[in-house]
Amino acid sequence: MQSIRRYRSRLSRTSGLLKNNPVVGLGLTLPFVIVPTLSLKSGLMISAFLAVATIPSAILASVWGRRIQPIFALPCYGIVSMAFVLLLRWYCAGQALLLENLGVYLPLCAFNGMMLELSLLHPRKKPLQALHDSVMMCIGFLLVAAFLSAGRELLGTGTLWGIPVAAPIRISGLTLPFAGFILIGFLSALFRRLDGIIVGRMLRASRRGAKEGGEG
Amino acid sequence: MMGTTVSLLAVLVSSAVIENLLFARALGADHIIKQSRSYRLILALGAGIAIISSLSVIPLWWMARAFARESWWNYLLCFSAVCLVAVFNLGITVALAMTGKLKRQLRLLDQGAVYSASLAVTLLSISSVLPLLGSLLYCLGASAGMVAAMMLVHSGRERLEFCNISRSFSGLPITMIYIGILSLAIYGLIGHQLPT
Repeated sequence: MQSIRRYRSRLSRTSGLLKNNPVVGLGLTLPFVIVPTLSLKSGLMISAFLAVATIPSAILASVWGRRIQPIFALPCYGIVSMAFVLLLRWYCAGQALLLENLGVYLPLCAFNGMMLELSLLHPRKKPLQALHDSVMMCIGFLLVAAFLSAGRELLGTGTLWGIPVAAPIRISGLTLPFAGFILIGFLSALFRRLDGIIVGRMLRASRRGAKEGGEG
Repeated sequence: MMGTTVSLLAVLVSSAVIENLLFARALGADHIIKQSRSYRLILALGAGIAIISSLSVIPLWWMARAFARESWWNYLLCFSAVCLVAVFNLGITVALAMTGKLKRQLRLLDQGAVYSASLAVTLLSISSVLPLLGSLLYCLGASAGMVAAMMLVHSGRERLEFCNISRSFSGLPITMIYIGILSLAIYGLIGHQLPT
């Protein structure tokens, strides 16, 4: 049991990365990982925009959260997030084609699920804790988005980072939304199964140890 | 006259079915996992999205006529859309509370869903470059399509609860696979390019 507690404790320190992953664990920011992640560049770009939308709002909520009336909280954080999103958009103005590919998902980053979770639903009490949790969640999103977008670009269009690559198979349907839904479903199930397998093995090992200790 | 009616109907149907917010753009997919199981709430959310987006589109449409060619139009559009959605949302909430029709405040999760969906519908409507009536019909059609999609998924989830699903797939995974299959079915019926 102690090994299971140690395993859970290690996972909770990186909460947002693997345990409580915003996409496959909590089911947040699904639109941003299902549709725009058609290429690795798009996946990384949307991750960056989500990060600038989430982190400042989470820190602001930890500092000012209690002073803002609940009815004004959502518009307030939304406007702050949108300001940062537009700032990053201005900074990345040179990547016009990439920004156009992201379409309506770019401004929608201002109201993403991670921002709602960390600013409204469960705001943290300290700014450092808010910064840590928001960064962990954004890295967790980045991991899933990068994996999915690389896979969809490689197997869907036969390129990686825009460079033609010889893929073993070509499935053009991977670039459609339904593929994103199904991939996320299976990825989420895989995460849960792996967690169950690890805990199951630790439980069996601890029972074996307890039995041998009892017999001894 | 007939041509205008047909084109407006085409806008309504395309926004509800072909460019469905849930099946084609995955908007609302995260909310559908967590929302309370109530058809009434889905209808109320849909009505809210329709009203807020329709009201927001009117000033934005006029602004687009004046400033669409400017280099800073995209920035102005996004910021104005957020502010307008916030203002109309607050106005409707206060009006409902004053008339006594709002028994309790919506959960923050549901409020967030209304905000993001209203913003999405507003921005999509303006970027479609339609006449004013067309933009309003786009908002209504998109909201109606989203409500229909959410009801379909909600009823499917109710049926899935009675099925013997393995623990790894219960909840989020099976719901995503279910939505994916529905999305594939609709794509198979209409066959269109991936929208952005």
